Parts: sequence; C-alpha cells; structure tokens
Amino acid sequence: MKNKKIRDHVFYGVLLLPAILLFLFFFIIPVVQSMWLSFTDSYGMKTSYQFVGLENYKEAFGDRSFTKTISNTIQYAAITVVLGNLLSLVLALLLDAKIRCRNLFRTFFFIPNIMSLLVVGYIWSFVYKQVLPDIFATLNLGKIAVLGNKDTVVWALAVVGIWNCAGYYMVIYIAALQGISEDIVEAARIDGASMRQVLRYVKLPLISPTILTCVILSVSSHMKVFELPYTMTSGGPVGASSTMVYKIYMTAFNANRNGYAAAQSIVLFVMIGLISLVLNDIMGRREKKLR
Amino acid sequence: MMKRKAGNALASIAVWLMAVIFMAPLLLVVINSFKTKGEIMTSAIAMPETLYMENFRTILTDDHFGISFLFSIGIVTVTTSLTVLVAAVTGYALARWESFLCRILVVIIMSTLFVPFQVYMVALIVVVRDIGLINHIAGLVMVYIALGMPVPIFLCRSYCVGMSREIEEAAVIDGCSKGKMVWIIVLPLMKPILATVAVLNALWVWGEFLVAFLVYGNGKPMTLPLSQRYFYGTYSNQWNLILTNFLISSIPVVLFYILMQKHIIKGVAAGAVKG
Repeated sequence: MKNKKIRDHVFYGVLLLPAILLFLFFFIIPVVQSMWLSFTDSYGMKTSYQFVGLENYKEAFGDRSFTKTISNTIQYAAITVVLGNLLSLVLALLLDAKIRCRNLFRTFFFIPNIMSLLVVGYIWSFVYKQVLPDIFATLNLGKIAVLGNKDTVVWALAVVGIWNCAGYYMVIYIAALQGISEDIVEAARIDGASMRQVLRYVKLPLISPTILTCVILSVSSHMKVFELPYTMTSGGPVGASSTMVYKIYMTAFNANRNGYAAAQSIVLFVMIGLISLVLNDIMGRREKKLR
Repeated sequence: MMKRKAGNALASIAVWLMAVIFMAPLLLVVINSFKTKGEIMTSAIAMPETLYMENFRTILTDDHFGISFLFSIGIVTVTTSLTVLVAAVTGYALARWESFLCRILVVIIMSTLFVPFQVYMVALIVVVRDIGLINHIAGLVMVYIALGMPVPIFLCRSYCVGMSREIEEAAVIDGCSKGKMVWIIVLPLMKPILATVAVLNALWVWGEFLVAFLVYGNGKPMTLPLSQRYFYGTYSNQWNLILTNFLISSIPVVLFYILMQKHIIKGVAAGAVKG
C-alpha cells in the first residue's frame, strides 16, 4: 500500500516536471532576477555589476523621459479601457438583439483581433499617413498629420488599440448577455419596464461582474502596449507617444541599461497591480450595495 | 410590436455602420494591393484603375516570404502541440493529485496571470542568454510554451475536475499502466478543451512579435512577423508591396478563424472566466 502511494507521487511528479521546469526557468528566475537587477547597475552583456540600492528608482522618478511615458501610458489605457469597453458593450447589445447575420457581424468585429499587432500597427500607419491626408485633401480640409502632432498622437494610437480589442471583449459580453435568463427579462417587460429600463435595471446589473473582469483584463493588456508605438511612431514626436513598455525596451535593448530597465519594469508592475486592486475594491463595494 | 421592429431595424443599421467602419482599414489594404506604387502615391483611396497583379507575383515568388511563411507554420505546429501536451498532463495532474507541491504550483500559475511578460522581459532575456538559447529555435519554442501555458493549464485542470474517475480506475484495474492510461484514455476524453486551447494558442503564436523579436531577433529563418518588420524596413514607402504582403499573410488566419470560430469564441469566453 505504501509502495503504491510512493508510485503515485512519482507518477504525478513526472507529469508535472515539464511545467515546473518551464516555470522555473522562464518565470520564477526571471521575476526574481528582475527585482534583483533593479537594484544594480547591470549593463548590457557585462557579467559583473554592482548593487546600487534605490539609485535606479530615484533616477526613474526624476527622469522626465520616463515619467512622461507613465502619463502617456495612463492616458492611453484610460481612453482604450473606457471607450473600448463601452464600444464592446454596445456591439454586444446590438448583436444580442435579434438581427440577421449575427455570425457574420461577429466575424467582422473579431477579425482585427486575430491579426498580428505588428501588422495592425503598420496598416494603421498607412491609414494615418496616406489615407487620412488623401481624404482630407479630397474634402479640401487642408493638411493633417495625426501621428506627428503631440496632442493627437496618443488618441490616434488609442483608436487602433480599441479597433484591435473591441471584438474580443464583445465576445465576452455576448456570452454574459446570453447567460441572462429570458424569464427575468420577460418578467420585467410584463411589469411594464421599457427596453431602456430593462437594460439599466436588469441586464447591466446582472453582467456587472463581467464588466469588472473585462475592465481589469483590458487595463492590464493596454498598459502593456508596445507594438503600436513601435510600428507607428517610434515613441515620437519627442516622446509624446512613448509608452512604458516601449521605454523599457529602449532602455534595456538600445541603451543596454538592464538595471535601470528592470527598475522601470517594477514600476509598471506595481502600477498595474495597484490599478487592478483599486478597481476590484470599487466594484466589490458597489456589488455589496446592490445586494 | 411595431416599436420592437423599428428598434431592431435601427439596431441593424447601427451594426452595418459599425461593421463598415471596422472593415474600412482592411478594405483599404485589399484595394491598394491591386494598385501600383504610383497609383497609391496619387491617391490611397481611389479604386484601382486596372487589376494590377504584379504585387502578388512579387510577394509570392519572394523566397524570404515563402520561407518565413512555412517556418511560421512549423513553429506554430510544434509550439501548439507541445503547449497542449504540457497543459493537458499538468492540468490532469493538478486535478487528481492532492499534495503540497500541487498547491504551490497552482499559486505560481495564478501569479503568472498577474505578472505580465513585459514586466520581467529584461531579466528573461538575460536568463535565456545565460543558458545559451538566445536566437535559437528551441529557445523561442520553450519561451512560447512557458508564456502560453498558464491559462490552458487552468482550463484543462477545471475540465479534469469535472471528469469522472471511474473510467480511469477501471482501466488501471484492468491492468493498464497509469502512464498508458493518461495517453489512451485521459487525453482523448479531454479533446474538446484541448481543441479550444490549441486553436487559441495557434492564433497567438502565429501573430506574436515582441517575444520572437527579443528571444529570436537575429535567428534565421525569421518568423512571419519578424520578416514583416524587416520587409517594412527595407521596402519603406512601397506600400503596394507591404500591403500585399500583409494581405497574403492574413488570409490563412482569417480562414482559420472562420473554420474554428466555435472554438475561438468558446475559448475567449472561458478564458475570461478563468483569468
């Protein structure tokens, strides 16, 4: 009997071995090393480096070119999360209504999401640099350069981010809406509720956990945006569209300052974590109130 | 009733409008693939004057494009098969084995969902370089598996929790070894969830750029997104060729989506519940 138990342990251990090794090498060690590197002056390929305490963090918060990326990223994420989720929700509600060719429309809205983000970025560069000026010229509206203007560039990237993700969250919202039982909606209708009231007092409260999930998922995914500034603007003009991940990439792989880049990464991580926690808390409290 | 019909008509119009706006950039890609460079320079929004096919010939006879295309298919096949296999056995073991190690592993997998790759990418590249796998196909595949497996593991685990143990026990009593039992009984039973996992993973790997760029940036042959970046750099301003390249390389994913729609939709919805 004892023997069988040991054999069981060995058996399951063997099954778990590949996953454990992969997590060890490509998750646990890098995460720990990331924290450690952020306190050092590690540089490029050099194997020796020194402990510098909080120097990197001090530098990060005094470095205009980095703090600027924080505000850019927050602005980008705020636009894409709020407008993106609104759009996804509207699309889901529209497709939840009884209209023809729902599958076709779902495909239309989902296709941007299955395309490579790199390709998406290049295609939209074309739209912004070639198509939009041509449209403006035909309409005699003068010149336009959304990517070259530091006031519009983050919005221009956000439009692409929303275009790319809208279909994804739409699918999640559709699943949630279809989970609402017909009986509840029917009962509300019989009680005299208008379509708008059904939406406001029945459907939205019922899918509010899904909304929270989507908001948190989209916050962390949009805070990590890299491909769009990389392909469309290279962070320009003068850093107006540089996002945190783009900056981390430049610091680590262009300037070769691994230690400093690691510190910037930790700042990003703490920010994503804090925002998610706060959102979770706000929504948790609201849910309690509703009950 | 009338009002409801009017509402539906309004919804239809709104949906059509949104669909046109959504598809516009892609339509522009298609239109401009049939134009010459000069035509695009004159106007990027005009319809092509003739059905100019030269762009397609150039891209399709370009060795680099063909090689990267096939190489990407290879990478996707290998990565996705291995990810599915690892996720399946890990999910199964986590569902069946009650032990301290399992609980730790579940916590680790949970935390991967909260620590995005971008946060530790700098150190990850250092680690990959230290173990000598940088710019190496094996390195790329291993990193892809590691980054792609957490959600699949969770999906497989909860699927296994819902599977009855009786068949497994019967097989073992009939003299089947446990390893063989997993292979010929458990994995086939998990087919529905494995299909979902595979389809989503394949889509991700096919279009993934950042990881490939960092882990495998100088490797040869290039994956498709890497080659597209290179192509964009070398043919800057030759939008006719660039857009044709994008069009041709997007056709397989769109077809794949249409074929696998059910799995993709199911997987996206399930992933949100777990994540």
